[in-house]
Amino acid sequence: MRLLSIMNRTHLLLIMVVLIVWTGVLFFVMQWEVYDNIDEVLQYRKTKLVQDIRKEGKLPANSPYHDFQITLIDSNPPDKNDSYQDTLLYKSTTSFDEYRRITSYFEFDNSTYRLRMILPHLEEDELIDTLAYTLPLLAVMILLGFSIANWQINKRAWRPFYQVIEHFKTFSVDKGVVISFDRTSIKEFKELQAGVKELMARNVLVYEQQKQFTENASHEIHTPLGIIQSKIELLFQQQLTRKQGEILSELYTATTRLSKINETLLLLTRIENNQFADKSEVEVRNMVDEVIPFFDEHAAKYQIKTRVDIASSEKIYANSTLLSILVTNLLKNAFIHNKMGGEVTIRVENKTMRVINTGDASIVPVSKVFDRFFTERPGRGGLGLGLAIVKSICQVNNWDVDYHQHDSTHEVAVRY
Amino acid sequence: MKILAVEDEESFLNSIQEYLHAEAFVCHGVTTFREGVKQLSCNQYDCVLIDITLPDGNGMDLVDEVKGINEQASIIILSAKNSLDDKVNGLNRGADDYIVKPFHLSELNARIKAVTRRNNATQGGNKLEFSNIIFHNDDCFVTVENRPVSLTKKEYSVLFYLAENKDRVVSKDVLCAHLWGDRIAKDESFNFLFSHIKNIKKKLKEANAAVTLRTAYGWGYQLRTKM
Repeated sequence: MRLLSIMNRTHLLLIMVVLIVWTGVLFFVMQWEVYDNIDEVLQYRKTKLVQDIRKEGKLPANSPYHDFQITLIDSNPPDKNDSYQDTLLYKSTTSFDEYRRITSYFEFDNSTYRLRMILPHLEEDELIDTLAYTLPLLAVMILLGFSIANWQINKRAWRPFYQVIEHFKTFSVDKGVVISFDRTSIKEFKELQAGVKELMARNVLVYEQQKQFTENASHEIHTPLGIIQSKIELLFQQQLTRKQGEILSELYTATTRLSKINETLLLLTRIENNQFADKSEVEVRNMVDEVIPFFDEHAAKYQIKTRVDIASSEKIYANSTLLSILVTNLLKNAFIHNKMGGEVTIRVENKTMRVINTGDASIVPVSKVFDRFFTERPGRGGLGLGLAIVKSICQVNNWDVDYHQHDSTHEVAVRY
Repeated sequence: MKILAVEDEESFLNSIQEYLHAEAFVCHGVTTFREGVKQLSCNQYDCVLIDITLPDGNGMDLVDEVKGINEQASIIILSAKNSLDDKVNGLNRGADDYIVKPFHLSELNARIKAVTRRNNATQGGNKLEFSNIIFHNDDCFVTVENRPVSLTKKEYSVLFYLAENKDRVVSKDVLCAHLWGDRIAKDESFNFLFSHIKNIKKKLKEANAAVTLRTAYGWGYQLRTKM
């Protein structure tokens, strides 16, 4: 949920609660005010009427057109004070009006009379109706006003904040781009921009230094290795005894292996440092078709059937160097850990690449398959880095990779 | 052929010079950018090998110098950085090839021949003659006295590599790396190489090629003209 939505929601909820409470209060206050007012009028009219009667010296005749009624009472009333009641008068058989009635007693000609006078007043229903119409209108107006205000705030005041977020999304440390923000007058955002800018600059710097270090280290190791290799190559050209040749050959094999390890570790570092950032739509079928021939001899020797199940239109958005390494390592793995007369299948469909091979039924520890330097059968020529590289490539691309085994069938699936 | 090698590591430079010397190439070696420029201005070279990291300058800038002084010379960049940026950058600036350290001297030798052949291939196409064998490099096939020999792609690749490094013992590690890179397991690759060599020998013999493909005990192979 967006920050502004949370704030809007909280505000609106609060306004709703306040409005509801306020409606109740308003209802009771208005009701009290109406009664107070009407009772005052009744009181005044009663006093005036009694004064008039006394002044004129006779009682007015009761008439249905009057809003008062004077009755002679025989016994003394229990309470001579004025009292007010609500009363209903039927207009017809179905509807009635609410009236306020005053009951009062006065002495005239040594007799006690009861005076009842009525006045229509604002009905409760009408009051509720009025509130029911006006308050939602108020709520709608507040809501509308709020939305417009927030929209404006969102557009103006919060813009630097969303700009920072946008920069974070597109920020890539290997691009080394110094970003620039729009000027803002809000203190918090100024600080945020400065902080983010410094953080990004430092990241770019650290990244550059690390890249430099990795490259330098690799260079430093490569140079002596290159010298050793070249000297052995020169020695090969001398007249050698069989024994000397064999020793030299083993030295040479070990040296190339060492330089392979160095190169592979460097590759891993570079993948993790995201130094293969150039991506494009790569045609997988073509790529696989180019890699497969390298395993021809292996397939022939072990009578392994190779199945490529990829539509020629299938494309993966990736760095082509890395994708090629991924495909090669998966296939290499599938061929090496195969059996006589086995099968290797590579299938790409539904955004998933599967490399399936027949092999041993012995259980491979799933958690270790992608570990560096893990080899099931050491000394088989592999460094145990192939699947570690596959995992690294998947990680930098945010792809899922997992390994399954059903009896003697092994499968590595990459969901891209 | 005249070659200039600019490489700051003297020991490595010596190896290059010695290997190329046996090829009957004249190979001048210098260790700095400044000496490189000096040599370029007083000699005509067919090929210049440039190390990117030099003590007094960037090898990339030397590529520009070569292009300015000695335009027809082929350029090969020797780099310890296997980075695509450098490769693209180098080739864009006018280098002909890019080889990553540590490389095999036989590989460097093959690359030198390839780029100079490509640059001189205006007449007669991209061909290599060795004894009575002709390599048609554009179409990857071999003829012995005008009769084609049916070699597979990999067999052609091995034989061509050996011909480029004729009379030398080329280690089986090098040949395997040439054919498969590190795509297949090493012990397996030696066996596959062995069977490819066996097939090549058989086919050359049937075609009456006047060459000897010698196995140097267990460590390498050598292609020589038949005495």
